[in-house]
Amino acid sequence: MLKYFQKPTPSQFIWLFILAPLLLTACQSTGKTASLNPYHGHGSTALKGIIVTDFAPDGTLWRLFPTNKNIFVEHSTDLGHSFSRSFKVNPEQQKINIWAENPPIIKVSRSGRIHVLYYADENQRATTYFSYSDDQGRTFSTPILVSDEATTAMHYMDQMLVDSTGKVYFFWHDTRHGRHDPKLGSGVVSLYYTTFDSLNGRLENQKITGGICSCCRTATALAPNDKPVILARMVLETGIRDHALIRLLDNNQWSKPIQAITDDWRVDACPEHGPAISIDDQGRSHLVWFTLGEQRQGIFYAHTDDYGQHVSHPPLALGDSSQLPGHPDVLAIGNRVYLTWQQFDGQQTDIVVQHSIDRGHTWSHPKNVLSVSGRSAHPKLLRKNKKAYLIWSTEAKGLQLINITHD
Amino acid sequence: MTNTMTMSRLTLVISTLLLFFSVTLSANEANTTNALKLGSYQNIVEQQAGHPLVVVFWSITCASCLKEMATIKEIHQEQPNLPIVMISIDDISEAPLVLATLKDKGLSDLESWVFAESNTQRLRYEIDSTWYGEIPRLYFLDADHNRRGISGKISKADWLELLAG
Repeated sequence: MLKYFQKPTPSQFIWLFILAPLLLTACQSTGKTASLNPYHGHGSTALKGIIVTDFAPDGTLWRLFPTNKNIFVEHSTDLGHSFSRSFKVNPEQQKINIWAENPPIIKVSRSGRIHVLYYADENQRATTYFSYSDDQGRTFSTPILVSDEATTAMHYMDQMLVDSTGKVYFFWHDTRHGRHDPKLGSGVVSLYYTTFDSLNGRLENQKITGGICSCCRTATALAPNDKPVILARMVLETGIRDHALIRLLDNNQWSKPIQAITDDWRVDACPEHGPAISIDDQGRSHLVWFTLGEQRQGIFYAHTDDYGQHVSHPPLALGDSSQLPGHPDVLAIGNRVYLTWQQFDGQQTDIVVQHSIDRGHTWSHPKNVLSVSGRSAHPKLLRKNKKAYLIWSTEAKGLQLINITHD
Repeated sequence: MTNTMTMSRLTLVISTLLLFFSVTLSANEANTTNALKLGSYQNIVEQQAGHPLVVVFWSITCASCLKEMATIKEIHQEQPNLPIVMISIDDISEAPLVLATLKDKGLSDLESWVFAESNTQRLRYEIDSTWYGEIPRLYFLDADHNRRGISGKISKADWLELLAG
């Protein structure tokens, strides 16, 4: 036996030195694939370390790469190990303005159209622009403003959904009805939406509701009937900032907001900490959110089968409360539900994943899968057919992609 | 488009002027801001050893913070010897707008800082390991520097109660 513990030769020692970190990384990963792309061809890092992605139906990974002045789009057919040449979305340089809670978006439709949404400072800060490509990103349409009051009212925190027919929905926070109501507090805005389903159609803006907490990103998902469902932090009449669900009904009218979660967070503040939602093919909405309410503090999971009328209780607390768990995301694929969030131990940010194989009734143990020191985007979950991927964009390590599918 | 370009140029001119004034006035008036790096917060607190102190974290895009400033102005006028330190969690590149906002709210003579670390989470953690980043975030320190942290806009009555200990 002793021969196995012989002192390594210098060359063996060097190989051990090189391989040890790789082996450690592989052991940390729950999935089969990990890729790392810290480098790119723009001569500068991604603005604030934020790169966003989407899988096309054919499995191609598309990524949007923002710089100070431009938005670039690239694609990868080998799960991010290598990317195509870059294609520029905005023909004229602009002052791109994004932050972790307000990132740009890329979505690929079933037909392969590439949809891009980004923010640039114009008359208003962080004004929303939309563009698309029908030729695999080689050329993009001239970016257009999403808000029809873009020059006079601030609008941001957009979401973009593309349904199975290719119809595009945009949702955003809009200050055009801004006024201070002492009962509600400050930073209360409206939720607006518009749709885009023709080549040159005007984007007619419509109000869904007022009473939206301005600085927390609203979450959206498509229900099995192909219609959008919204999870938003709302400001209730008592000044409490709790979460509500709103959905587009079969008659194409929006439902009244239904308070789905009661945390009793009475605060007049900007939490900058929005929720996430994913709906499985049987219509169960899986919800994750952050609160510092009277009832509970931290990040939580719950689900509802009737869009907020009845919600699983008590909510499942996520993460290590001593490490500021935050910015959760959720993804449902069949009976599988995947969760991710970030934690911070004072030095580095860790990304944790957890999954359920029975539609959110029981859960695996949480597992740390990635970590980095420095600035990062929020972790995101992406679906590629029946597989679940964790994607995380950081300033230090670029884009990291892990298959977290539990078969 | 021409309108947009004119506005962009106007914004650029205003920003340049603000930057110019912030630099030129700094020699004579407390109309300047400082870069908050790791360790800066501790120095700020130590500068006021033995004295009560209020530290306010805010942002130019935070509506609740801007509303809070009216109360801060009142307290400052009534208790001019109470040190109130304004720390913007915006990026240091926004310093001109931070200064313009403080001036607009009548707070330009308060000590002012702006976050200047790319990893803002680490900076926040060093200040308070239980703070998730919600703003406004206020810290009331008594003469012994026992600290009480409050999130969200509060009333003048709350201020007075917290200052009374």
